[in-house]
Amino acid sequence: VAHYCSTVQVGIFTKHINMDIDEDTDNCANILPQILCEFGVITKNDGSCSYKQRSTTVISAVHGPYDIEHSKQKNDKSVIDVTVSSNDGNLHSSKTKLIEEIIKSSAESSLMLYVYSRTGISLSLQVLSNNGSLLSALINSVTLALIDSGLSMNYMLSAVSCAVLEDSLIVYPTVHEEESATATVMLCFDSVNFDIVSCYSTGKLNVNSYEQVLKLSLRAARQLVKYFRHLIEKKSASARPISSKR
Amino acid sequence: MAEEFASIHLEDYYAKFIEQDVRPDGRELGEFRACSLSVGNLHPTADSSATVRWGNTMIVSGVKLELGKPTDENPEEGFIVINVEMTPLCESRFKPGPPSAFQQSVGQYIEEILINSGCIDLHQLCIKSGKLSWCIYCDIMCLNWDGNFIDACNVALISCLSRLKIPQLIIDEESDKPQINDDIPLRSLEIGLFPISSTFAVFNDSVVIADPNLHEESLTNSTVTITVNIEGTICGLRKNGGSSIKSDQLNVCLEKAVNRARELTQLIEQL
Repeated sequence: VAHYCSTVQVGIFTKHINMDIDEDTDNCANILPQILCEFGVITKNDGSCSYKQRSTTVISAVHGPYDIEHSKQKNDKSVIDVTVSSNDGNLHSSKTKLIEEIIKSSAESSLMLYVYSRTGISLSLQVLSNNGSLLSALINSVTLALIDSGLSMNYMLSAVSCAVLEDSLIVYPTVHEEESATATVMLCFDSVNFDIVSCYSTGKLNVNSYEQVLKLSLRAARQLVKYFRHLIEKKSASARPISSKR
Repeated sequence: MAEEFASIHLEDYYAKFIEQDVRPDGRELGEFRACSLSVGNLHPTADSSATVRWGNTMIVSGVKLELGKPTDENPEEGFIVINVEMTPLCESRFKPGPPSAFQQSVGQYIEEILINSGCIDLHQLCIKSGKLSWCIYCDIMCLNWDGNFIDACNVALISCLSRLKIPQLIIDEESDKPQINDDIPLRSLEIGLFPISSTFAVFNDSVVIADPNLHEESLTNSTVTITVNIEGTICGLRKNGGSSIKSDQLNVCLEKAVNRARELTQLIEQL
């Protein structure tokens, strides 16, 4: 079942506007781009999600908790393994390693690993199309796949990419916007306190721009979490037995 | 007695110190370790070299200039190739053989810090467009790992590059072979503002400490690396998951990082 985000407005704000962050995000204009999301696309796995954000599409699948060899087990937590397959066939680039490590450590903090000690959990991500904001799309799809799998979590992750251009900030930029930006920042927040779980920046930005990026990303993250909750409610309302065919 | 307690209950040992706003090595929570730098250790084998002692962490870096052919996509640019070595010599967790995922991502990040800051314009390395360019090979080797590898590596790398001297080349028209022109003095590599990184760790989900050493790194699963230059421009921000950090704590870290950038830039330029 596919769910569409309610508006398609893309947020572009100039640096001169003073943005006040309201706790109640209903008063703020929706700044999320169009997001399409489908749970359970891969039936053989424990949890999966197909996530499309603007035109970046990612499929993520969760398998676990499963048995791993004794030498690799950890007594007090589960061992997470992340594999990201790119759409351009580039399997072993060091950039992929960097992305995998960020996703792995973000997922480790959001899962209650101590519940699944001495097991392994594997996250497989496949990039179907990359039109910018890839890292945030990957982290968001991982969160949704983990929710689909029913693993115990401390919080959801909401990742927002932001590009800083000369006179504006763009949320979830496309590849073209990223290339013409002076800096891009990916911030990943937890869904409880909205503290920063992970972040990654490229390019250069001054402290003022960083403050504005932080404010804008917080806004987008709150709206994203609201949207995730809406998706989960719909999913549980239309709960189907495990063995049914699609 | 304290050592036994530390080896069995490292977390509790540290928690007792953190409660009093101090750390076992005597530093305050936001204090960085002293960094000492010496250059030219590998002369004349390396074209530029530096040794950094950052607390107990020791890093040696050497830079060699080689000639290469520029790529077709960027015929006017040279190359900088950075190789980071972490051997079992520096710490027992590293095994001999191909680099692990952790080693690869650290090596990749050191390179990213340099590229992100845009402090070196690769066009100055071009000798003949499309045919010949300088290739700067940087090798960074860790001799002793006591935490905060990235910051120390970064200082070593920048010190090396800032002291690199490039000779002028004449290309012999007939044989098409390059020769060093001894008459013209060596020119320095032009570097903009140095990107200086500072690493912080989140301890116990609430306290942020600056410049974690080896023990502190093993207790935490979340570190933030902030790279700034002396002007206060953020050239890199990276946090790899783990315990979350509040935005105002991150702002405090930013301020500390800018101060640290001033100290270290002065240190590198002084020598």
